[in-house]
Formats: sequence, structure tokens, C-alpha cells
Amino acid sequence: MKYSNTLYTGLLSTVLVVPFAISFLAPVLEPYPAVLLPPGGTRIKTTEDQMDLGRISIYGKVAGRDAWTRLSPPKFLSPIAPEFFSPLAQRNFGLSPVGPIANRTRVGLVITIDPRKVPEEEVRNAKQWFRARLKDSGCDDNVLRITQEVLTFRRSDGAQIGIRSENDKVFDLH
Amino acid sequence: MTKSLIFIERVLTIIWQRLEDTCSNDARSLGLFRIFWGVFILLFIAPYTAYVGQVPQAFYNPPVLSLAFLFAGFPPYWLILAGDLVRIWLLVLITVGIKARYCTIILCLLTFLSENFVYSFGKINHDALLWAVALCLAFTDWGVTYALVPDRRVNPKTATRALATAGVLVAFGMFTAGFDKALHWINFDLSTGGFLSWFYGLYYILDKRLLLAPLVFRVPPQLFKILDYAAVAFELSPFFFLLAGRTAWRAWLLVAICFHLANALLLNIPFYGQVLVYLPFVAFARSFGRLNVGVRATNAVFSWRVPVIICATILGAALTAQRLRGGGSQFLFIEGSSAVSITLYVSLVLLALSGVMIAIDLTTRVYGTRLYRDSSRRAVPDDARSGPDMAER
Repeated sequence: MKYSNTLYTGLLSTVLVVPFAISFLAPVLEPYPAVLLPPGGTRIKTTEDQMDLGRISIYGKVAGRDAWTRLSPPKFLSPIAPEFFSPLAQRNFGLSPVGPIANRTRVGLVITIDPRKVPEEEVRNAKQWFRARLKDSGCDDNVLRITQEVLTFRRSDGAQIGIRSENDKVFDLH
Repeated sequence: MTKSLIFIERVLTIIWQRLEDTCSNDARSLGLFRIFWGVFILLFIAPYTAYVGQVPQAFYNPPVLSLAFLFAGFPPYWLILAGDLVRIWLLVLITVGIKARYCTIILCLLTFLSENFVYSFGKINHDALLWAVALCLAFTDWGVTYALVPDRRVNPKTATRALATAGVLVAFGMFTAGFDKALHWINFDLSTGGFLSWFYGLYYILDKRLLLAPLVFRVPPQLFKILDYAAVAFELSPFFFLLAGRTAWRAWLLVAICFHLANALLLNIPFYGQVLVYLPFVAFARSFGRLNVGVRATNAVFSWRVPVIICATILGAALTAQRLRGGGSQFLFIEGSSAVSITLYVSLVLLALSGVMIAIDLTTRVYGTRLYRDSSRRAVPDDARSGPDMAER
């Protein structure tokens, strides 16, 4: 073929660059499969010794006591890989409806994605799944708490100084 | 227009020739790598997606631009389990070398489909590179040597182009990781940290606190700015090394292994699957295989057959039994959350071993180049194939 290298390069570039461009400009639209590696160009302020970090945590009520215990995501979700914890928790694990999420792209456009509506039967099944997991973790299987919290720690030695809850959702699992 | 096209074609011909010279590998090395690849995946990245058929459908949140978006939920358990079993036995066939080319293509396509459902928890893990490189290898001679039912040899031009494409995929993948970091991390603002933003999140949210992670707090944060620059330079540089030649490319691969080792030690990210995208470029046959096996490797009964067939079959049978019992794991048959920490420790060994393999290949290459230079100072080569370019190879 006369321009075989040009054609091959053009085709390969399209296959590689188009998904990259989409995921770079609008990460929420990242396609799969695509040859992409984790970007993660985030930054954090490191000047103060006392630092705040936002996170989502799940808590179970210690069986027989009126105290909450934080459940370790890798242990609680296994065999679901721990990296899926945050996206699942952000959607409340499908236990309650989440409104449309607006995502701002790098070119200024706002893409609003309406999360999948979870039917009542699926919610019931999810509650059953959580009850079994909570029981295995030695917790009361009636309630699960999903909390958006701010963790304060000391940068110099990593010690946790405090946890401030910003948004608590307690789910009745019955 | 035509003149421009001819000019572009000429430039691209030179570039692709360079890439093919950098990435080419002999069929015996690729055959040995195929066995390593198959056993590695069966042991450490075994197909296990069946569990998504057992989690609540309420978790289903597929990527918008993916095949899974067309589905209403996770597939039924039996279907995705069947997919896992098919993939396990395709891996066994690839390892022993029975029509490896077709098996590799089917395996990769099935994996893209199965993994799509795993990534329907709301996040895509970036392992497509591993399978994209394997797809490229299907178009080389990796199923020709050390194979029970060898593939037909492909046109040498196709094989070298496929390996060069694999090199481009690796370089591009790394570039995509570095590009976004470069925009945010490359500055002279010592009051912010990129590496540390990863570290604190993993440490406090996902409880990744093993190995050297606790020591990070003892280091002044400004020093980690060096890591930010180094990570960006490393991730943006592979195209340069790919074009610089075989030795430079292998040197970059060695640095890549060190980079993943550092990530495992400090961030507890065991990105060990990456070794399978770096090792296709290593001349296994020169360092680890017999030098004069030649074509006989394909036909005669050699000692490699018995252990490889037994090992692959046992692994396939054990993985099948584990999945049919309702269990499963990607890594060394270990079920439950303990796999997370064991994966991390074993990944250090795997990365270190891969680093040693690349280092041996690199050393042999550098030593060979030196020997050639010494000998060429003494005598004029009488064979065109023994020119400097061959030495560089």
C-alpha cells in the first residue's frame, strides 16, 4: 500500500488519542477499554503541621453497645477491591437515591449525569447484603452509617488528632 | 498535497523503522515469555470476576462510554463464572502453546468484557494496557516456539510492527499518566505536594499503612517535591527512550520497575501486572534459554514440555475447582481481605525479579556493544550485518 505507515499511524493515533482526549477533558466520560494509566494530578497543601483530609467512612454499631466503629473498607467489602469503596460510598451504595451529579469539564461545559435509579427490590437485596456483612464484622445488623467526615492529623508524625463529621446518613437496614 | 503525504510517509517510515529496531525480539524469547506470561497470570492475576454476580445490583454504575452501559445490571453469576472458567482454560492453552494466537485474541476480548462489569462499581482500574499489549503479542511469533501446537509464523514485518506497536502503547499509557500530573505538579510552589496528596488519601481512607508508608511522615514534605518532578519526568519520557534505541529503552524499563517498587513501598500500590508489559522486550532466550535450540524447540520433545503442561494444567484445575466451590481470588488462591497485604509483599518480589531480568538483559546488551566496539577498533567488519546498528541491537 502506498501510504501504509501514514494510514497505520493515523489509525493507531485515533484509537489512542480520542479516548485520552475524552477522559482528559471530561473525566466522568472516561471510556473503557482504553489505553490509559491513572492520571491523578491532585495536590495538597503541606505547609501546616496540622492537616485536614476529607473522606467517606462507613460505621457499624458495636453489637450490644451504643457505640459506632469504623469499618475498614478492604475488610468489609472483600472481595470487592478497596479502590471501589469511595465511588460506591459516594452513591450511598445505592441504598438511597442520589440526585443528578453535575460534572464540570476542562472546557467549561457542565455534564449532568443522572445516576441509575435503583429499584426497591434491589435496595432490599442490598440491605440484606449489608446485614450479613455487619453481622460478620461483629456489629448490630440493623443500622449502617455512611459519613462524610474531615480527618485532622499531624503531618510530622501521622497521629490522628480528630474527626469532624460533616454529613451523616444512618440507614435502617430493615 | 501529494508531496506533503509523501514527505509524511517518509518521516513515519523512518520513525517506525526505529521503533521496530528498538522493540524487536526473537521468537524464542517471545515463546519463553509466553509461558512466563501465562503462568504469571494464572498465579497472580487469575480471572476472577464471578463475584460481581453475587453483589447487590444496587451497586451497578457502569462507565457511560462502555459496553456495560447497555446492560441493566451485573450479569447472572453462572454466566460470568462461565466466562471466568473459559478465560482460565484459554490461559492454560496459551501457556502450553496450543493455537496461542487465537486463544490470546479471544482471551483479551473476553477480559475487556468481563472487567467492564467489575469497573461498573463506579471506577475504572487502568489495566487495559496489559491486555492491549497481549493483543499485540498475538500478532508476533510468541505462539511459534516452545508450543505444543504452534501457530503459523507471521510475516516478520508484521511481527516487528506488532512489537513496536506494543512499545508505543506502553509509552502512550505512561504519557497519559504523566500529562495530567505535569499540569499540576510542575511548579515551584513548595507549599503543595502531588505525591503527598496520593499518600494521605491512601493512608487515611484505604488504610494503606504497610511497608515504608509510616516513614513518609518523618520526611520533610518539601523533599517529596523531588519525587513529583521525577514521576512526571519518568512518565513523560518513554517516547524519547523508545526512539533513542534498544539500550535506552531497556534502561527506561528498568527505571519503570524501580518506579513501581517505590510506589509499592511508599504508597502500598502493588502495580505488579505492569511487569507483563515490560518483559516482552527482554531477550529471555539469550539470558535464560539455550542458545542453539533453534527450530528444534518447536518440534522435538524437550524437557520444557512436561513441567509446563503439568504446571499449567494443575493451576487451571485448581482455579476451576476454587471457582466451582463458589470462591475465588485473583492472587495465589488467597481469599478474603488478607490477600490485600500478601499481594503487596509478593508484588515486591515479583517486581524485584523482573528488575533483575531486565538488568541482566541490559548488562548483556551493554557488554555486547562494548565488545563489538573493541573488536571493530581492531578490525574492519567484513559482514554488513555486524555493523554498529547490529551491535546496538
